[in-house]
Amino acid sequence: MSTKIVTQLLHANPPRRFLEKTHDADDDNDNMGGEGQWNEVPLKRAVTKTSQALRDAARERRSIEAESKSNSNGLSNICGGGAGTTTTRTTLEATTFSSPLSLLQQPFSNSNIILPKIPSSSSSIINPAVAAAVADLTPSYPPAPNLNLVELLPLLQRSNAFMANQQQQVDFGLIGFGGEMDSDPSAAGAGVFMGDFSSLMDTVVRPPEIAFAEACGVVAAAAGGGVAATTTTTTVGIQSELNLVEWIRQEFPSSSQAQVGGESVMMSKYLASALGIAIKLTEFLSENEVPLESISVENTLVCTSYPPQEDDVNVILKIQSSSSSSGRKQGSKNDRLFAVGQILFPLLSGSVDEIEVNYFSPQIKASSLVIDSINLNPVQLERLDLPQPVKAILCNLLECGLEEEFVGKEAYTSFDDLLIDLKLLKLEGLSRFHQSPHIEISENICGRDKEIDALNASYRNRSGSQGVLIMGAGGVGKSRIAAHILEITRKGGGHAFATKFDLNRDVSHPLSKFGEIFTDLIDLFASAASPSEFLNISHDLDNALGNRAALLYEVLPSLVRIMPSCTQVQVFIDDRTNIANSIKFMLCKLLEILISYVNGRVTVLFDDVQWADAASLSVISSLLKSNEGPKHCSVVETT
Amino acid sequence: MQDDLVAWLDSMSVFSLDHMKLESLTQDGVNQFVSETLRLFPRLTRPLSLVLHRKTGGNPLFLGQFLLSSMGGRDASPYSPQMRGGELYFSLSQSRWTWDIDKMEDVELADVVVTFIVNEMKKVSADLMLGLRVAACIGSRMNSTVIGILSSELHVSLCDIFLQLTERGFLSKHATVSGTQFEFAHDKILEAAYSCMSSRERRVNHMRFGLSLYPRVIDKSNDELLFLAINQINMAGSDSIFDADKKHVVASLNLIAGKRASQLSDFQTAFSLFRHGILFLGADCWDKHYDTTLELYNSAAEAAVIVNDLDAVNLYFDAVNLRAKCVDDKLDCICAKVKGLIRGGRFTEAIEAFLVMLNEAGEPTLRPFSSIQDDMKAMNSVMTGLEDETLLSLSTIKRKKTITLMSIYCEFGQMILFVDPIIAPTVTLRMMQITIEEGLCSKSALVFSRYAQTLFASNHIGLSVRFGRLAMKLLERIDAFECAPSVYAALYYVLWLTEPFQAMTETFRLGKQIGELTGDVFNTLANNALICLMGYIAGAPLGDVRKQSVECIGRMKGQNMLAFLVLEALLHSQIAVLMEGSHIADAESLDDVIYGEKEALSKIQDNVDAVSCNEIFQMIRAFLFRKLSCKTARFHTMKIFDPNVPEEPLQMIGIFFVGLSWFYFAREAKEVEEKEYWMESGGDVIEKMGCWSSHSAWNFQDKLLLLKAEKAYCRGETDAASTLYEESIKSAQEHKFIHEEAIAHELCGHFYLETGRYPDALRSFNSSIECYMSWEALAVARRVEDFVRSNFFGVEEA
Repeated sequence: MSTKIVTQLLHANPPRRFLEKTHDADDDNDNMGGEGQWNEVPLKRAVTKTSQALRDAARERRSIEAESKSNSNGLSNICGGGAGTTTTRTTLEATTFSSPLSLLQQPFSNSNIILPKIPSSSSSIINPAVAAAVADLTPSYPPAPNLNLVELLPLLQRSNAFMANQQQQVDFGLIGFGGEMDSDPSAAGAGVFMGDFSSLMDTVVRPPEIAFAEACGVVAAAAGGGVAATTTTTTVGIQSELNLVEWIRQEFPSSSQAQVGGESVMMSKYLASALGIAIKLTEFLSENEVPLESISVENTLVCTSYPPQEDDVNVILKIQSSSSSSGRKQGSKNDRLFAVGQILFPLLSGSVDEIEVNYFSPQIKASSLVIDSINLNPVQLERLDLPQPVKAILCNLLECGLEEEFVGKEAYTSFDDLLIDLKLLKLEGLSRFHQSPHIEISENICGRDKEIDALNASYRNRSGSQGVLIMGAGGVGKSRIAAHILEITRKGGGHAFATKFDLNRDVSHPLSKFGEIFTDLIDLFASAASPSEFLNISHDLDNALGNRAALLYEVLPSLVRIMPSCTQVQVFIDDRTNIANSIKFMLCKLLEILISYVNGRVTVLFDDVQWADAASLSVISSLLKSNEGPKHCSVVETT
Repeated sequence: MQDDLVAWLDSMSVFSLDHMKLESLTQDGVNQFVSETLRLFPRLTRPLSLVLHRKTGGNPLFLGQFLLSSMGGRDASPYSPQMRGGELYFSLSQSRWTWDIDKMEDVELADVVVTFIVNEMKKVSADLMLGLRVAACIGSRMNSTVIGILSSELHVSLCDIFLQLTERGFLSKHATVSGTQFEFAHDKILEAAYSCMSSRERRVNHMRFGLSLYPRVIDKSNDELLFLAINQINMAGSDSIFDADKKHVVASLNLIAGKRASQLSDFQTAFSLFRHGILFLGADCWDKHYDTTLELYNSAAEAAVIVNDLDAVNLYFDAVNLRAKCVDDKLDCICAKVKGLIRGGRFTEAIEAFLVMLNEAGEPTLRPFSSIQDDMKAMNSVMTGLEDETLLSLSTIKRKKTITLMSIYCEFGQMILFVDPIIAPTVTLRMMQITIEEGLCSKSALVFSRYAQTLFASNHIGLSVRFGRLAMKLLERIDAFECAPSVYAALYYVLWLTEPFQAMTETFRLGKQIGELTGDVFNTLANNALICLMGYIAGAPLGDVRKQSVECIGRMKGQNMLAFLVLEALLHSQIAVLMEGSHIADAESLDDVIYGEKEALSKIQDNVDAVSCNEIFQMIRAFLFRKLSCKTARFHTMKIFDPNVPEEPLQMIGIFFVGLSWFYFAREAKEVEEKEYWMESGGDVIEKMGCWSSHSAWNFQDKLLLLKAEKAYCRGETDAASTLYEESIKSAQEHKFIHEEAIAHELCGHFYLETGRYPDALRSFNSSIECYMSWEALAVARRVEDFVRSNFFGVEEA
């Protein structure tokens, strides 16, 4: 087994990279997670350590199996306690996790550790402290020192059942958080090592009803006086954590970087990452009553994956465990919003110099002190060259710290509003908020979510519907919403055609409206058709239209491109009574034949049919009638 | 909403369309719109949006126009809040849009968007206003050619003006192959721009623009420009021109444009142009410009027929009737009127108009069939003396009057076949006389086919067949593509004597195809109905015929062809009964497309064809389900042999079943006399069948043999019967009449059963079941199956 893993590691493509944290015995009990340096380990050494770890693990397993045979209750004894039992791990340098572990979760009030819920789309979430404890209490596989190792799937699978049995008996001082954790144990084929915070871990009773399915991940968290973490991890990867200020310094594009990478591009990239952090932090704070004193830059850590992956940033908020529950101050909503503003200010603006002085300050007592110490206010923002939407967010947040009479109308009043703004900014980018005195009316479809859903459903329903009829008063947006079907047709690789009827002062003959559509269709065919297809379609048209095509040619001169014979015959009609029906029929036939040669769906929009004359309406009806195949749908719109 | 649109929307119910009714935006929708337009967070724009929602009612166009206006989109400087009242402005200090909510509350807006836009338009500069007026008069689109011409006329750069109007949100710009094109951003804006002008201003502008464009039309064959120029002049109205000669020029221009529109198959536009042309004619037009006036009226009447405006047809007919110098000049308009009345279903008036026309044109009066026998004989003797090639090579008609007359006769002749068939032959005879006297025209094939039909009705079978063939040949010789569907439909009565039933089905299929192509809806559906009927007669799988019938019924309903619909309903019911059983005859509706048989029967009282058709179907059904009774058979037979019903394929089939039934009764008869009576009657049918079989062995040989076999069986001539049955079965197989093969097998089975040849009987019954099933007459197959089960079980058990 171990040989197989080592082989996998050696031959992984791209090559696996491993980080090692320099060991410092003095730091073992340190609250801070920032000590020690992360260094990349050469592959050969990593493999050696892995092999060693695996050998140790096998030895340990044999030993435990021998023990368990002699004492069937041994494990539960090792795991220890019920409620109130505390287990402290004081030395743990590195951990190799071999199992998707069940996270432990209990009400916030029972714990001094808060783990914000962060949506995670694909990852397992692993708390290394929990994992470390569990690893110690279970038939664990001793790790290679200071080595972050991944992909020990075979071992993971073997230990799953065992872990599930054991975790009910383990108490930890951590609140697990789920987000959208993957509940499939098989999808969590990796452990993640998160550093040496576990020395500060408290253990609490884990409610037995917490399901294993929720815990397919590992969360690493620890803090100076208790800790909260938000994380999104990937199945394969290594994480490192930085204080937010350090993160900003590291990530914020310097002037030289900006020159190389392009200022706006670099800034946009940074802003996207920063907004991700801001959103996670705000979401957590909006859902949890974190003590006001803990909402600060200093308490905010950022965990990032290595190698970096998109939207794979975890935020850890350290909570002051020294404060008793009763003594904690929640502060008013404005105080809390202002406190968030103090974190978001350096994060979104990249201005970290002003808060340098407070960075090492371990305790911040109250929001008022923070205001003074950091000395931030909305007016200051005006001096900074920030994008308008960023400025608006920060300004409206910092306004919350002003005396009530000075709080403006646009100041934030809830975390929900803040979240909406942050998400909108992240989703749509700065360009959505680009301010200009020469602004144009939005061409996006606004406030029509239901209608768009209905149109999408109608478009997808290929067999059940012959088209969509959109009606509404003048100016209500029929044309715009009808254009949506054209857009989705094009996006789906289909072809969209449109014609628009005009007020009855229109000068050209109504059939020319259909001519526009057919000319476009013919162009589409002609642009991609092979010579043999030209011959085939010409033959089909000859069969279907015969010499009457000469009449259609009068209406549709572009017909000659696909049916050269249409100009070579003359039709004498001494009774034109039935010509209108004849043209209708030929248009339907032509559509049917053209569509049979065109790949993808075809959508036709007849806009403003309220201005169409009776003859044109009759042609539309005929085209609708012939629209029974799955390849095309018609959209008609009226008032 | 206009009537056409309402009617069209109603007609949409037949399609499976998804309907979407768009309402005004909600407060959230408005806020999203405002937030995106002002590029601010929705949280910030919400208070403003609430006010805007209240003031605009959530109409996006109104909202956009108001925001454009408020944001200075139509003013020179957007930075100056005072210019717009300061309710919404771009704050340089904050580098963003901001607003004064109180001032915004105080803004008074019009109730409707058009009024608001009109007010906004009044604020723009004189140049831009001129641009708006030009654009509004021209219509919704202005291409580079038109912009160039009008810029020269007005001595301004319309392109620049339109660009500015585009910036202000009134117009939108599109790049096309032929250059830049402008159009109104919304039709409500066009409406508003047009309403900015008084009616006098509009007329003056339209005339000015039209006259500017007109010279360019003369030289170039630019249809769009032609229609644009004439449309502008027409919009100005005839009151805008005082000079009589100029009026005549405009009237002539309308005539030219109308003819071009008609060439382009755009009859609505053509009708409109002819109508406008008439409006430009002076009071003395009939005296000074007779030809132009007459042509305009005739053209307008013809276009009115096509667009189904019967009142207009009558109006133009009255004018022509009053002022035309001679009858020949009236004929076109009369023709239009007759066609219009026929198409409008006003048959009595159509007959009256036709009779008036005959009188004025000096044509012979219409007489019933019985009164024209001598004329028929005379004509037949002439025809007999003429070679086929001579008839096919007659010269073409030269006189326009004759061509018009033939056109009226053909149109009327088709109608009278259904309304008053007694006088149909006299119309046909007259058409034949004209053909002999003056030659061939595009309608001659139809004339020949109708004449063949008439000859058949008067029992001149040989000559009838000859003219049927000549009609088919004529279709190939002259350019008579358009009348092919009506020729094929008419030859239904004749072709069966020479053509296999299956080939006739293909002929009708071709007729339907050509009818679709030529737009002849009536004859397309007639051919469609004949495909169904002939498919049934020829023993096509009933499921296929049923599907075809469903399509046919749907289209007939759309065309309101009630007389045809009843016939099709009866056929549909017959097919359903054979497939599913007799109980289906009691259903209220069939296949969700047509009423049931009971309702169909309630509608056929005056329809001789339909009554006869029903009797035949009942007779066939009674035989196939073995529910025959002498009394009802006699009744059915009487109806089937109605002398007023022309002999045609379905009737032949009816007679065949009558013969089978009579031999059945003969076998069942207990009295010798009764048996002899039925045998004698059956003999008559054999004689008739023998006659038809001599014309078309393909169609009638198997039927004749089967009848003969039945007769031999009744007479106890077992050897002869056995041979005849086998021959009949073989003939049915060879001629692909699976249904008649099934009947022959079954009757043969009975014969074998009676004569004690049980294995042969069982084999025959099994073959019969197979054939019935191939025909998809499943209910009949079940009936035979039941018979076999109950009878042969006993035989085997014994």
